[in-house]
Amino acid sequence: MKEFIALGIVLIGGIFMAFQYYLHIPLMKDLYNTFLDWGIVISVFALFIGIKSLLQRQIREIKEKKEHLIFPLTTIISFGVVIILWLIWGAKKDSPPVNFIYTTFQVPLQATIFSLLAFYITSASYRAFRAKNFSATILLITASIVIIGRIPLGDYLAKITIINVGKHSFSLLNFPQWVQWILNVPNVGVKRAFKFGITIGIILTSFKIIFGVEKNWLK
Amino acid sequence: MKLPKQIVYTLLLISLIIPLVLGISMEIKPTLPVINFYNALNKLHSGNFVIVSLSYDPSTKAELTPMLKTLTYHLLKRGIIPVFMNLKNIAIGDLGYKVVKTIGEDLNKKENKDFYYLGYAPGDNMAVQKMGEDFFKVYDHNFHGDLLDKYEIHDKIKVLKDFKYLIDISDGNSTIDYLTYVNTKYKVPMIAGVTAVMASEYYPYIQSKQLLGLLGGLRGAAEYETLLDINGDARKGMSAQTFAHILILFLIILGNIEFFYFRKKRKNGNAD
Repeated sequence: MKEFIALGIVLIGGIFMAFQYYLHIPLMKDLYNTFLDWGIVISVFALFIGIKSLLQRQIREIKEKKEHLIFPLTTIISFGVVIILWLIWGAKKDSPPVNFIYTTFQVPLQATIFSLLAFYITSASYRAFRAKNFSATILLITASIVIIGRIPLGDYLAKITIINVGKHSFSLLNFPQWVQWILNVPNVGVKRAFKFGITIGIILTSFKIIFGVEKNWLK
Repeated sequence: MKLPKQIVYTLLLISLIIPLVLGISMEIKPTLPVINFYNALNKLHSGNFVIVSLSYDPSTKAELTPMLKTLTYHLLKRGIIPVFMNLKNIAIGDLGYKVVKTIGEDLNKKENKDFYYLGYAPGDNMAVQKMGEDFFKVYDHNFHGDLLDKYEIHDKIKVLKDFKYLIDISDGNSTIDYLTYVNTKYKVPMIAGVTAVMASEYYPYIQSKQLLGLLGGLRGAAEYETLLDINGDARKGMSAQTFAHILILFLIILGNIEFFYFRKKRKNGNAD
C-alpha cells in the first residue's frame, strides 16, 4: 500500500510538472508556485541529513580507532566551533569570529589546495604525456596548440609570422585562431553529441520513474 | 634519467614568481566570446538592472575574482545597477562583498542605490525558478539583513525577466542550470565568466546564442581588462601563466625525447 501511494504521488507530480511547463493555466501556476515553496523548505532540511551523515562517519572512525584519528577529530572540532560561533554571532558581515575563521582559514586553505594542482599537472605532463600511439599523438598536438594559443606568446607568434600573398595576408602560426577552431568545431561537435545523448537518457529515466518502471528510489 | 619531482616543482615555482616580481606585462588580443561579453554590457543604459550570480568559492578566486572586479568596475562606471547574489555556492562568504564594496567606494557609488549585494539564499534550482515567478519571495532582504522593500529595486523588479541580463561568474555547472531555468524558461539573456577548464563546456551555448558572451579563465579576464584598458590582476597573472605554459611545453617535449630515446635503446638492446 505504501509503495502504491508513493508511486501515485510520483505519477501525478511528474505528469503535472511536465505539463505545467507548456500549459499556462492560472491554477497550474499557483500549484507550481506551492511546489516550489515546498521544494525550497525541503532542500533546507536536506542540510541536516548531510550534517548527520558527516558526523556519523567521523564518530564511527573515532570509535573504530582507525589510523590518523587527527582527521575526524579536526573535522568534528572545526564543525562544532563554527556552529557555536555562528549561533552566537550570526554569519553577517558584522560577526568578526565567523569572518575571521573564513578569511584566515577557509580562503587560504581552499586556494592553496587548488593551487597545488598546477604542480601536479606540470609533473604529470612531463611523466605521462607521451606520443605512444596515434590517438595519444593527436591529443598531444591538440594540447600543445591550446597551451600556446591561450597565452600572449601565441598572439605574438601569430603577429610576427604574417605574410602577404597578393591582396591577402595571413599568419603562418595563428595559434589563437587554431584554438578557437578547436573549441568551435571538434569540441562543440563532441559536446553536442554527449549532451544530446545524456538528455535523451534523462528523459527516458524520468519516464521510467514517473510510470513506476524504475523503483530503485523506493528502497 | 628522469628529472626528479622536486626539480620540476622548483622550476614551476621560479617560472611563476619571476614574471610576477618583475611585473612583466604582455599584449593580449581579445577573442570573439570576450568581445561579445563586453559589447553585450555596452548595449545597456544607465539605470538598467542586471543580476550577477557569484557561483564560486575561494579555491578558484585567482581566476574568477579578477573577472568580478573588472565586471563590477564596468557596470558601475556605466551606471548599470548590478544585483549580486549567490544561490549556488555558500562558500564565497563575504569574499565577493569585499570586492564589490571596495570598487563601489572607489567610484563613489552607494550600496542599495547604485548596487545591491544580497548574499546567499537556500533552495538552489527551486529558488532560481521561484525568482522567475516572484523575485522577493527568495530575496526579501539584502546581505546585511535590511528589508529590500524600502529601496528602488522593489519598485523596478518583480520577477527575473525584469533584469536585462543574468551574469554568472562560476566555477561549476551553475551556468547550465541558469541556461535551463533562467534563459530558456524565463527568457532572460545571459553572459558568463567561468574557469578555464569549464570554458569548453559552454561553446555549444555560444553557438546557439543562448550565451551571448563568455570569459574563459584568467585569459578571458585579461582580455576583458584589455578591452576596458585596465592593467588589473588578470593581465599581471597572464605573464606568470605564460611562463608556466612554456615550461609545461618544454617538459612535454623533454619527456617525449626521453621516451623515444629509451624506446630506441631498448629495441637496439633486444636486437643485440
